[in-house]
Amino acid sequence: MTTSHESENAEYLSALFDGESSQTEKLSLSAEHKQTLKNYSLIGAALRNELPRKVDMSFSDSVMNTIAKEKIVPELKIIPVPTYKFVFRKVATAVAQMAMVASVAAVTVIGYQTFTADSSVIQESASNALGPVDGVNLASYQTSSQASNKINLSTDEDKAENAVKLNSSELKKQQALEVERINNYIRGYVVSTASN
Amino acid sequence: MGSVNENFKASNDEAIVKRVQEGDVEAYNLLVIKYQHKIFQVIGKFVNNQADIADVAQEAFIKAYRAINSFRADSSFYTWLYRIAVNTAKTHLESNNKTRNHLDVDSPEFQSIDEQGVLASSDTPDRIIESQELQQVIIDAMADLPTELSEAITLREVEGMSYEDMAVVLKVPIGTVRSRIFRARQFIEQRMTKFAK
Repeated sequence: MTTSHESENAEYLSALFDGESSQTEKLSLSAEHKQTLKNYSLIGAALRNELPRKVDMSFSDSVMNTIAKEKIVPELKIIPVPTYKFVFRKVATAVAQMAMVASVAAVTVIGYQTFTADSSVIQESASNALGPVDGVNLASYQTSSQASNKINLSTDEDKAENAVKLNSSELKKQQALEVERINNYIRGYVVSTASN
Repeated sequence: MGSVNENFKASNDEAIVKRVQEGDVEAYNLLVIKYQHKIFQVIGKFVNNQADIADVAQEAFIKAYRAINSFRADSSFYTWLYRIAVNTAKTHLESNNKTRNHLDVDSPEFQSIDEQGVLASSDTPDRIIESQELQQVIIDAMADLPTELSEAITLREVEGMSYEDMAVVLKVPIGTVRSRIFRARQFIEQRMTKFAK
């Protein structure tokens, strides 16, 4: 007849075999305990149809004897020491990743701003960009069709008078001055834009 | 060739392995006892000779013990042990193939192997038992078990369920699960002892 303490111990051994014991103190298995555990192992193997043709009941003893006799101990976990090359590679990878993320973010922000920007703002910006340079505004050369017609009309009306007043050399002189004025404006605009 | 029994995923060996990692050698004995039959079966798929199976299994368990600190519970302990056993068996086969051409079939080593491939050694003949009859005794004992006990031991040993999962399935407290499994094992063990006598 078994006492309740022995029964508790046996139940503990069964739970221990299943890895379901919460106790953490070092194990001390008697020969009787080991035999019981071997029987439990046989029961499980038989139910799963895993029993080999012949069963060596002393196998675990021989493994444990070899471990004890040859003083085999578990190898220590090797923690690799980081080398200069390893650290450099890690840092370079991190920097490259950050650069990629920053590029993508910048493209996204600019793309989003361009996409959502008000068209009037864009037009305003464009006219600002073509603002006065060295006191001359390019807009003065951007005439509406009405104004353009006016100029053309006035040119037609005064043609005869001018033909009388100005000879051809003066006309050429005026044209050359006008071209130079335009060139000066463009040159000033380019220099001003480049300096900005 | 062969695969890990998925039923053993739920097997909770981490606590036992942790004990071994903390220096409890007896806890490793428990793991050897628990998995020796499965490992014999795995190695038996690569190695035919019964004596070689035992040697390779012993080598695999010793390798696993040496490397126990590298076990990180990414997989179950059995999956980890299974890989070691398969690698050890393959290495054994490779080295065996290399030396096969140089073996002398008239050597005493070959003379000591019986017709079943079992080493006719006189080391521990009484410790080697025929499993066929033993399996029958266990199956008969299972048939005589009360349903609640046979159900509990089947869920644990065949399905590989944890006590917690079993408590949910059987709708009983974990303490009852623990007790039923123990009583089932105790009953079957008594029948085994009678058979041995």
